[in-house]
Amino acid sequence: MPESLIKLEGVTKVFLTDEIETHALSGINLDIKKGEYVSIAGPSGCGKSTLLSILGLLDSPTDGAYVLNGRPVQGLSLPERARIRNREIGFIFQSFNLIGDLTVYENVELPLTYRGMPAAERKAAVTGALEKVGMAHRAKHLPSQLSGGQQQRVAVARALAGSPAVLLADEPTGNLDSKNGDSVMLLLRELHKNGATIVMVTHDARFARHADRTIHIFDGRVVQEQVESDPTR
Amino acid sequence: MSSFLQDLRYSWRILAKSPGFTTVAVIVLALGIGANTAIFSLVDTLLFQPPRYAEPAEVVQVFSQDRKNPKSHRGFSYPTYQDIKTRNSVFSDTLAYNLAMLGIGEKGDTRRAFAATVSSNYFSVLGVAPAQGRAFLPEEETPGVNTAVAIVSHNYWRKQRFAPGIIGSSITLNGRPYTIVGVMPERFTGTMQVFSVEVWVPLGVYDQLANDYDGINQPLTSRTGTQLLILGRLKPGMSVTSAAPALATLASQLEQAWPAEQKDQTFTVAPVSRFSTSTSPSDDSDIGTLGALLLGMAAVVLLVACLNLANLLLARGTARRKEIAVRLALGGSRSRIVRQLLVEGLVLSVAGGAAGLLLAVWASDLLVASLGNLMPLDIVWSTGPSPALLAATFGFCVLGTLVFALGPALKLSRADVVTDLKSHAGEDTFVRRWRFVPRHPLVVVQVSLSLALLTAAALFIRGANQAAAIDTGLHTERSLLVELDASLGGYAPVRVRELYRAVGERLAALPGVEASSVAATVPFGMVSLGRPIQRAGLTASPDAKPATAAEGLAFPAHWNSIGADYFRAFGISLRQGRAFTAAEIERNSGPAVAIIDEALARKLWPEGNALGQQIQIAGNNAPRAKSEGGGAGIFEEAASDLKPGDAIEVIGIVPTTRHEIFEKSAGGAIYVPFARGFQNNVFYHLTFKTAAADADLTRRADEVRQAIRSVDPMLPILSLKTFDQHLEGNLQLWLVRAGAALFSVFGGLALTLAVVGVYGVKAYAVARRTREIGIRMALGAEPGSVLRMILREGAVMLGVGVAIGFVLAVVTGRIVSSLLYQVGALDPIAFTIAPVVLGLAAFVACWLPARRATRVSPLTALRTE
Repeated sequence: MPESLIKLEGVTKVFLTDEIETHALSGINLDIKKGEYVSIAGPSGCGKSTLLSILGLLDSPTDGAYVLNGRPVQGLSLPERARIRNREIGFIFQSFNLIGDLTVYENVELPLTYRGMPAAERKAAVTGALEKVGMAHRAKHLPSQLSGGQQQRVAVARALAGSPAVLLADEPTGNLDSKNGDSVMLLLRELHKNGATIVMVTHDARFARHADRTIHIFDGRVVQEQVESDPTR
Repeated sequence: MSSFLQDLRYSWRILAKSPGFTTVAVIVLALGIGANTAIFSLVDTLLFQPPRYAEPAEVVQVFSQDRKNPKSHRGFSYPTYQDIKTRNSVFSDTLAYNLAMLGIGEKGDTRRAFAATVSSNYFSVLGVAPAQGRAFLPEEETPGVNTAVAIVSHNYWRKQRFAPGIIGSSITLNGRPYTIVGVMPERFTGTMQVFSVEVWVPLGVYDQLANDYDGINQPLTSRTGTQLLILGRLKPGMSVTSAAPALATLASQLEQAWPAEQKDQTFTVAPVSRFSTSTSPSDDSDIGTLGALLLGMAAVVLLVACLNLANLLLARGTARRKEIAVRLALGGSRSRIVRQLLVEGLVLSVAGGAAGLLLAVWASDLLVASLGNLMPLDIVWSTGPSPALLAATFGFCVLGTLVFALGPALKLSRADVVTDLKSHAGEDTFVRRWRFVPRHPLVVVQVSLSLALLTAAALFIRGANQAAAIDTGLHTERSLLVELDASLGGYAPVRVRELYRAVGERLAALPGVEASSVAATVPFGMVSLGRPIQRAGLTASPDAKPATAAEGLAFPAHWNSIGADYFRAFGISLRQGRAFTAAEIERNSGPAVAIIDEALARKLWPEGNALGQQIQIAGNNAPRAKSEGGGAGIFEEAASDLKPGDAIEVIGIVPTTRHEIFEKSAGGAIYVPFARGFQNNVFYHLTFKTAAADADLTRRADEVRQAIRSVDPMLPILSLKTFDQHLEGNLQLWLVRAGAALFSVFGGLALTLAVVGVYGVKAYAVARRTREIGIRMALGAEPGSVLRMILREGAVMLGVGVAIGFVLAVVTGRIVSSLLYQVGALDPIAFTIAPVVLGLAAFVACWLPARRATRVSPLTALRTE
């Protein structure tokens, strides 16, 4: 039985605007094992992105416990959260979020520089990550010189480069056409096969089927968990 | 036209929508344009505005030059003036005048003012008639006729609150009533620019009003006199060059007729100086250089302001790319977009220019008022905007607009319509093409220019501090200084001597007074006296080139005639010998004695002791060592009973003290008993036994005033102040401080603009890069690393700017070095302080936005997608 990587117990997120409480998440319990590929699905505004932000330590739960890789993380300071984000989590965003001023290589290298990794190690990690996503030949290009699909591959390489415990992907195909979207999904599938733990938010059932397990959220609650007997290959 | 108005309306709306940006832009432009307008006003008035008399190109000054010593010039006697006036063939008419300092009696007190004693045709030759009343009549010019009439300046009339019955009213000059027969027009300043005398009197009263510095033993009718300056209006077709031979011929004829009086004198002509009333030609080039320097500095400030604004516009333009793309997509031409953006710039410029104009007028008035407090001369300054000033300000606005708005307008109108329409509002779609260039090159240029100006300011401030902290060598902390001039009250010389003796006795007897002494001049005063001194018995010919005192070289020395207690009153102990006795102070016959300072003693007897030696005043043509003094103020040849060649025994030697701020090194002074160098204008120096608080000094000043009044209630007291107050009013110190203040204003403006520029671009950059910072933080950047990243980028920008600025500062230092007071062009302190101040200020300007960047929430930043 694989050990638990992410464990949420009774996680609640309440936003307070103009003295009106909005319950974005209510009593979420979740257990994601190492090496699992989980998709979080649900309609727009259901709370799936809020859940991903909490998982990625970009946001804190109002209540409840979050244990990442055996360590409770809900009450950490900002610098500690930044350190964990840097070492344990790889982000893949819908709009790629590459830095326009930096080359492909520098974008991928960025999280490693924050980790204080020596240059030689960085080089090996960056090159390896770019090769994994098939973008090594574009290392010196700027993001604006790449297509959307290529930019998302670079974003995946950036997420991979630091060998994080989990990849968090927020609608990774949302800004791509179907061909490029399929290609990115295949890439994630490939990474999962090689042992990566992936948590992906999507509202597209077609892509959700790529995961081993799909968690359906509605109005901030987990309403259904569905194990794919034969994830789309 | 209608589309221009539409642009104008739209610009107004756009700017009103961003009051913060508009306010900052208008302030930045007001500072830049205001500095230029103020300096333009100054330079225009001093250098470009035509003199206030008719056809100035026709008017020239005549000089009497020593043929054998061409650098030597002198004034003219009245008879020589008459000869030139009647016998020359080049002038349609000539005038003569002489400047005199006199006392204007007002409400029982006497105020010192400059006046001009003029030939009766003075105003007609200049082509300016009195605004009220009449000019002088020919008979009023006759020497000795003493018709007591005066013409006053518009400023004098203003001081009388524009009294309606001014013509025919009386003005008291040197204790005598004169009838005012005319008032000159408002801006008339005689032959000088800006500075004007307050009263004109006819040459007929010259002998009554002649002051200490005119050679009082020379009546106007004497052919040996050198009191007058002569100006001539050239006949049509004549020029300075074509007039020269005829005047040289006339000079030869006069020399033949008056071989002793006109020996070796020839006549030359040159354009009239705007600032000098000297017997030697002056080309005003120093003022021209200063004007060019000031204009250059102001231009740099405007450039910095424009770069600042260009940066703001570029940053703001980033947010407007979508709007511009929409305009282009709707078919707007690029030129139309550029025009719209330029009109926005012009609206800003005109608003900034209007505010700058107000600033400039205020600053000019402040400068004039500050100078006016120091000088007994009228300053005629046209306050308020003139058409030329308005035109110049508008010119600066247009120029500024082109510099700050054209570049951004061209850049922004080159939009990639498709990309920009798709771009997120506020997202920076620019990608830097040259990554080795710092992110904000315009800020780099601003920083470098600001550093150059700031360093220049630091150099001038260092000079001002040096001047203020000058070691006078005098002990003046417990003292009061009184200036009297009985001649301004109309007293005859014999009576004046009696009065001064009585005043001296009365002041010495005041309670608490430790020592009191009379003196002809005061160190750091407006007037310095001097004579060339050499060893006695030596008369080197003018052609000889003696190198040492033993060979007959004379040394220019400060001259003062003093009372017995002079040195004690200044806290100076004699190094050798003795002070003057009371008998020597009173006696102007018998063996002559003098006390000299150590500097002069060393120059005259470098190898031995000067005490007991004989010295003499050198003749006019004696070869002399170069003077180390000079500068602002009036340096006059001292009048004395002692004649060149009279043997004077050195009976005492005192420590060297300074006499002027601008002396390169203190040194060379001779003191003679007061009776040997009697003057109407005198200073009494009183030292009290104990230091006194300010209130005490005020009480003591009242006692001093009462003591003088008790001798004679009509004695004109020209000033009564502490020595420190006297030093504060020193014109040379004012010049150094005014220079420092001016450069500080420019340096401060440049610093402010640079810091605003750095802050603006960094704050804007952080705001534009919120998303990028959010991405970095999502990827694990800690707040500290974000802070370091923003600061590092700022440091690169500042480092490059400071490096370039340092080079510019070295160049600037070299340019202004001739204007600096006892500070090297590469003064290490100024060259350290300026970059440190700029660096620190700019660092804080970077740090504030950087700190803000660390508070970016990655979640919020990423939500902008």
